[in-house]
Amino acid sequence: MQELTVDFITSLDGYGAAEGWPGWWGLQSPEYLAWLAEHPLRESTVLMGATTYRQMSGFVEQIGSELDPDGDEAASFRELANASKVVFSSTLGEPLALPNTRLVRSDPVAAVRDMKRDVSTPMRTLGSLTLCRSLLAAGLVDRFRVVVFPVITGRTGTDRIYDGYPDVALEMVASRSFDGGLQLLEYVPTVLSGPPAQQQNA
Amino acid sequence: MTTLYTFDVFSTLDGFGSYGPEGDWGGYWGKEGPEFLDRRLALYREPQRLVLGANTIRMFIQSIGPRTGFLRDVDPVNSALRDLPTTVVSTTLEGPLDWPDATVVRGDAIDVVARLKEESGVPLRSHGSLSMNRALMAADLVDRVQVTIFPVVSGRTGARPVFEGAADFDLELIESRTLDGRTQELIYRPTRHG
Repeated sequence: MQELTVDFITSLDGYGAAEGWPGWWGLQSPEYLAWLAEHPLRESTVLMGATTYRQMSGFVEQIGSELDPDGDEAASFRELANASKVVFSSTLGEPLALPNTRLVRSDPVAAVRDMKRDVSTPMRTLGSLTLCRSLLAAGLVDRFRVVVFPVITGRTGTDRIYDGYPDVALEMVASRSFDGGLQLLEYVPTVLSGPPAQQQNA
Repeated sequence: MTTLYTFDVFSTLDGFGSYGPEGDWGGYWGKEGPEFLDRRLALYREPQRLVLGANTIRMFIQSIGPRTGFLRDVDPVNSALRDLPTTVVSTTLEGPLDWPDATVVRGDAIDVVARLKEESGVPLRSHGSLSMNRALMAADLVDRVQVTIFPVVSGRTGARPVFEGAADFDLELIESRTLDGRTQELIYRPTRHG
């Protein structure tokens, strides 16, 4: 069985993005970028929903125009273009603009359940709040990894990560600070279906 | 030179400070351990003054008030917390309170805390008291935000989002420690963004 890691970057108050702030809130630090380079997307199968796919496809097209081709963001989008990807969507059509991308039109939960058995690399998600929530609720997520960026965006935050989540017990497997005040927290999640106290102790 | 004011709060990973009637997580979401309890005891044994809003002191008194609280055996951490000199900012509470050393101050939290920061000889620590601390953060009176993240997501039963209604802030991470291999304490210095 291949492992599935859900990967988020988040503000301290749980938002995945914010209006008027740059990518990574402008706070990507050398240690964080080095850590990203140590965990290249191309070593995994990257899972996305349609909304994130459309965003990423747009960003990749901007390399060289709106995006400085030598910048850190352009480098990360090139890495994404090269990685093996799966997008789950009933609305997207082929051919897909992003290279190395397979379109899956069927139910993502069933598809990922099969993929965990069949694919040859570990899987990780990119953005894709709705997809991640479905996979987590279905008990398919082996690792839940967040990097908490040092901002609170109560006024401008968008893409609140945890809306609609179930109750989940977390077992911490990694914790590390990066320079610039970024904090990685990685957990093994267990979805709780009933009253938390009894479930946790079970 | 004013004294340091720390907004100290416990949270789930998804940012809830508490849970509703359907959640029976228990104290500290059932995740307290020896390192966490030692850390809290050490914090509460430092010289300081507690600053609490009305809802938080009511909740504390209900559980660990010396005469009226339902908990008869109070553990060392809560006992140390209870013994701290405490300022309660409230326009509704009437003294005396069932709390060893509490002073109820009427008035706006911003005025009260601004004055305390000028006059207090010891650092100030607020626990919980979300709406009061939201106002104090917006008024640039909070010097440290100390968030202890317990290893749970409480999407179904969570209540009282810690930073609901907050403005935008840049944070400087000053301290980060893992307790009992599962609970993360993060201490930030907040600055209003923009």
